[in-house]
Amino acid sequence: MRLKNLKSFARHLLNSKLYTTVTVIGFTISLTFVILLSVYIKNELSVNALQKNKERIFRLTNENYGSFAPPVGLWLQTEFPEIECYTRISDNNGVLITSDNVKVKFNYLLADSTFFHIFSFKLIEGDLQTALKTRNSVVLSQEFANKLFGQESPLNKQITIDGIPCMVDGVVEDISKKSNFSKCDAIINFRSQADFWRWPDLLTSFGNSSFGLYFLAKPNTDLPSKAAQVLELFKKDYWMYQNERTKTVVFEPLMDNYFSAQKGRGIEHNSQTLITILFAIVILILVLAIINYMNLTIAQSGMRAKEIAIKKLHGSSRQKLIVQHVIESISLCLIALVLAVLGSFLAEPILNDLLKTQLNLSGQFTTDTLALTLLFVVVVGVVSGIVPASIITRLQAVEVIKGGFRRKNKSVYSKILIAFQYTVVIILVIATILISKQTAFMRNFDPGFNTTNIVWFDNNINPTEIQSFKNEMSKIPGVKRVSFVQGTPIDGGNNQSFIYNDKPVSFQEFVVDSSFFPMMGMHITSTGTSYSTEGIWLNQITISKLGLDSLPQSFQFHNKEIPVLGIVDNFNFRSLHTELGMVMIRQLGKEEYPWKILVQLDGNGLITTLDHVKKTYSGLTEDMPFDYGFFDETIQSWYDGEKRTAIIVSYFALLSIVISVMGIFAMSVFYNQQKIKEIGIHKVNGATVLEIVKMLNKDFVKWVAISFIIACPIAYYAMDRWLQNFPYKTTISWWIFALAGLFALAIALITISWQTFMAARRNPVDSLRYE
Amino acid sequence: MIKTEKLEKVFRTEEVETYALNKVDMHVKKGEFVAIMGPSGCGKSTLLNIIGLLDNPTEGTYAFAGTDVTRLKEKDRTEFRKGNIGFVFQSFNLIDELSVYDNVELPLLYLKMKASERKRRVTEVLQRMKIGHRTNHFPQQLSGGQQQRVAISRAVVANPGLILADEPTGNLDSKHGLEVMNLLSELNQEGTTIIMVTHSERDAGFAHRTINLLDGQIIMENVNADHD
Repeated sequence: MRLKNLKSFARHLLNSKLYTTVTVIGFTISLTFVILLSVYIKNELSVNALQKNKERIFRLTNENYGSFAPPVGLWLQTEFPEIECYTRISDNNGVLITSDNVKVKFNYLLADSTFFHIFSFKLIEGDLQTALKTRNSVVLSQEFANKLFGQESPLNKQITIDGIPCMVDGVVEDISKKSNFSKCDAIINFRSQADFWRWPDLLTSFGNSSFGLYFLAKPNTDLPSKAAQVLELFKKDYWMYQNERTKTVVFEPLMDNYFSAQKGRGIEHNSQTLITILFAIVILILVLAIINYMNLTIAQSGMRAKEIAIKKLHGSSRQKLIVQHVIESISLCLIALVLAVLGSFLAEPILNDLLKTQLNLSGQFTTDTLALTLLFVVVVGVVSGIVPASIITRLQAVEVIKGGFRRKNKSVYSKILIAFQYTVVIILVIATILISKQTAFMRNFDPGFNTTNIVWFDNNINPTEIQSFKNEMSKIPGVKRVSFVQGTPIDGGNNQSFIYNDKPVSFQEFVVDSSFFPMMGMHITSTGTSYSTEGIWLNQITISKLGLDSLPQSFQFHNKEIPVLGIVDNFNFRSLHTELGMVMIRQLGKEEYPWKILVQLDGNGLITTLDHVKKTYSGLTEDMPFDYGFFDETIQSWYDGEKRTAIIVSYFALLSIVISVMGIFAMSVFYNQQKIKEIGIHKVNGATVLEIVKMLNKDFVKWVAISFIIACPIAYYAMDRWLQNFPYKTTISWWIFALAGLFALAIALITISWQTFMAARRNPVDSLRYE
Repeated sequence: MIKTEKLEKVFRTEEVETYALNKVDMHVKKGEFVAIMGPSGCGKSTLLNIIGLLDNPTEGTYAFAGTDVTRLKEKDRTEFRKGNIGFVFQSFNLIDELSVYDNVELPLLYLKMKASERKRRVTEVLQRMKIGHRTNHFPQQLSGGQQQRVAISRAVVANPGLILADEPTGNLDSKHGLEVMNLLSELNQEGTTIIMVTHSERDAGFAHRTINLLDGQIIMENVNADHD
C-alpha cells in the first residue's frame, strides 16, 4: 500500500466526521472492555498459577461440605505411598492480646507446618523449614505484623489468642495474592485448634469433620486415580461415609480449586458462570463494534465509490483495492487501540470496584501481551475490513460514475446487522430488569423474623457476669431486649446430624434463652405439652419432612424422647440461595456458654444507645473489641453477589445501547441521504412532513420489532435457566418484555427521529433539481 | 388562473446575492399552454417551482385561482398542491423501489382516496397512456419514453387543473419526445392548464404562448401563430 492511499484515507476520515467518530468510538469502547475483561479473566484463570507444586497439589473434597476429620490426612498418608505430605486447613476469627495488653480482633488460618512445604509463599522473617513447627506457633502476615509491632521484629514475641499463649515464628507475604486462600492476618499451627476449642481429643477424633485437607503428591504419581480406593476405605471405617450420608470423594487439582463449586475452609472462589458470562459479553460487544464498522463502511461507501471507480478505470485490480480497505480498517483499529488503552486505565478503578479485584493493568505490559494484543487488533481489523471491502470493490466502475451504486445499495443485510444489535440490546435489558427484580425480591423477602434494630455481636462475657450484663443493659434507655444464644437466624445455627428412624437427618440447631422468641417475633403453635427445661421447638418443615403429627408431643433425639413444646412457623435462617431445612430450637442451659448476644433496640438515638452497649460490654470483657452487625444489613449483604451481577449486566446493557445507538444513528443518516430523491418525489406528490417521517421511521421500527420477536424467547430461556439457581424466585412477568421492547423502540425512535425530521423538512426542489 | 406580480427570488450566500427572478409579472389563463424558454441559469426552474408551490418567492405576490398563496407555510403549500398541481420532470423522478402502478398511485394515497377509487383511476390513466401492460414493471425495466409516460400518468391521475413540466423531453430521443408532447397537447385540449420549461423550439411550438427569460427577467413574450 502506498502512502498516497493512506493520505486519501486520512482525508476521507477527516471529511466524514460522523463516520470517523462513530467507528473509532465504537472500536475504542469495545476494545477498552475487551482489554479490561481479558486482563480480569486472565488474572482469574491464573490464580494459583504461581504455586511451584501446582501440578502435585490436590484438595480432598466430597459432595457435602468438602471437609474431613483431623486424623484423615495421616491415615491416607500411611495407606497411599503416592502422598508426600498433607496439611489440614481451618479458619476462624479471634481476639489476640499482645504482651502490652493490646486487644485486636483478627482472622486467621490454621495449617500444619507442611503448609509452607506444599505451597510456595515467601517468608519475610523466619525460616521456612521451622515455621509453624511447634504447637501454638504463629506466622503473621506482613501487614498485620506491622500493625502490631511497627518496625520491631515480631519474631519470638509472645501473644495470647483466645486465652492460649502463642509465639510468633515468622512473617509471611500476603498469601491471597499468590493463591486462593483468603486474606488472613495470621497462620497458626493447626494443633492449636484443639487448645482454642478446649477439646483435647480433637486431633484424633473423627467427630468433627469440618476441616479442609490438602495433599502434595510425590512426583510422577497419579493420586486422583486412588479416589475409588479411598472411598472403599472410608465406607468401611469412616462414619461420615457409612449409611451413605456422604457418597463421593475426589482429589481436586489445585488449579480447579478456585472455580470449584465445592466451598471450603479459608479459601476464595469465583464462579465459572461469571467468567463465562463476561467472556460471552466481551465477544458480543466486539461483534457489535465490528458490525457497526462494516455497516457504516458499506453505507458510506457511496461517498468513496468514485475514488474506487476511478482507480478501477485506471487499472487497479480488485485485490489491490481490497488490501487497501483492509489496511484502512486495521489502521482505524490501531487508532482505537491506543485510545482504548488510555480508556482502560481510566476505567480500571470502576472495574476493580465492580468485580472486587485488583486488575493491576500496568503490570500487564510485557512483550508477550503487547504482541498478542497487536495481533488480536490486526485480526479484528481484517475481519471487519474484509466484508465491506469485498462488497464495495465488487461494483462496476462505469455504474459508479453514472451514479448507479447508491441506488443499488439498499443494504438489506445492514438492517439485518442492526436487528442483531437490537436483539442483543433487548436481551440485555430484559436480563438487567429480571436480575434486578430477583435481587429486590430476595432483599425484600420476609424471612419470618424481626430484622430491624436488632444487633448481634460475639459473646466474650464471663458466664458468671452474664446476669450483671443483663441488669446493666436493662438500665440503658433504648434497649428493648437482650438475648443470649448459640446460633442466630442469620448465621444459620449449628448443624446437628443424627440417625432418626434409621435414616440420617440433618437439623440446624439454635440454642436460645427466653427473650429470643419475643425478640424475633416468631409465631409458635403450642403443642400443649407441659413445660420442661428439656423441651424443644421444631419448625413446620420438620413436620412435613419427617411425617410427624401436626402437633407432636415428643421427638426422638439421640435415642431419647424429648418433649416438643411448640411448632415454629418456618423462617429463613440462611440466604434464599438455599432451600429451607429442618430446625430444632433448644433452651439454653445454665451451664452452657452462649456464643452470641442479640440486642433489640427501640430505634431512637441508635448511636448513643450503641455507645452505651459498647461501654457496658467492654467493661465486662476487659476491653474486648466490640464488633457488631445489624440483622437487616447482614441479610442485605447476602445478596451483594446478585446486586453486583445486576450492575455488571446493566453496565453492559448500557454499553451495547451506546454502541447500537451510534450505529443506528449513523445508519439513519446515510439511509436518509440515499433516500433524498425519494423523499422529494413523495413531497412533490403531496406527502406532508409527518407522513414522510412516518415512512422513514417505519423501516427502522420494523427491524426493532423483528429484533424484539427474536430476543424474547432467547431472553426467556436464558433467564429461566438463571432463575433455576434460586429456590425462591421472582416471576418472569410479561411486562419485563414489554418494557424492554418499548425501551428499545423509544431509543431507536429518539435516535433516528431528528435525522428523519430534518430529511423530511428538506425542500424537495433541492433534491430534485440537479439530477 | 395564475397571476404573479413583481415576483423576486434571491439566493443569498455569505458573499453574494443572486437574483434568480427579478420582478416577474406573469399571467396564465385557465386552459392555456405556456412555454418558458431561456438559457441555463436564467431562472426558468425557479419560476416553475414557485408556481408549483414548491418554493416561496422572496418578494412580490402570487395568486393561484384567485387565492393569494405568496406566503403560505410549507404545510399549507402541500395541502394546496395536492390534487391541484401535477409535476413532470426531465429525469422522470420515479421511485425505483415502487412498481409502475404504485408510482402512479402515489398522489392518490396522499389524497386519502378509497382503494377502489384509486384502482379505477390508476388503471384508467395507465390505459390511456398506453402503458397498461406494464403495470407491474419497475421503472428500471422501462425505456425512457415509457418512464416519462408513467410520470405523466402520475401527474394527471388526480385530475389537477395545472400541470408543470420541467423539460419533459430533455432525456428522450426525438421520437419519444414527440409522443410525450402529443400527450401533453391532448391533455391541454381537454382543459388542463400546462406550463412547460423547455430548451426545444419544437416543443415550445406546441404551446399557445412562449415566455423568454434572461437573467431572471422576462425579455420577450410571443403568441404562437398556429394556435390563434
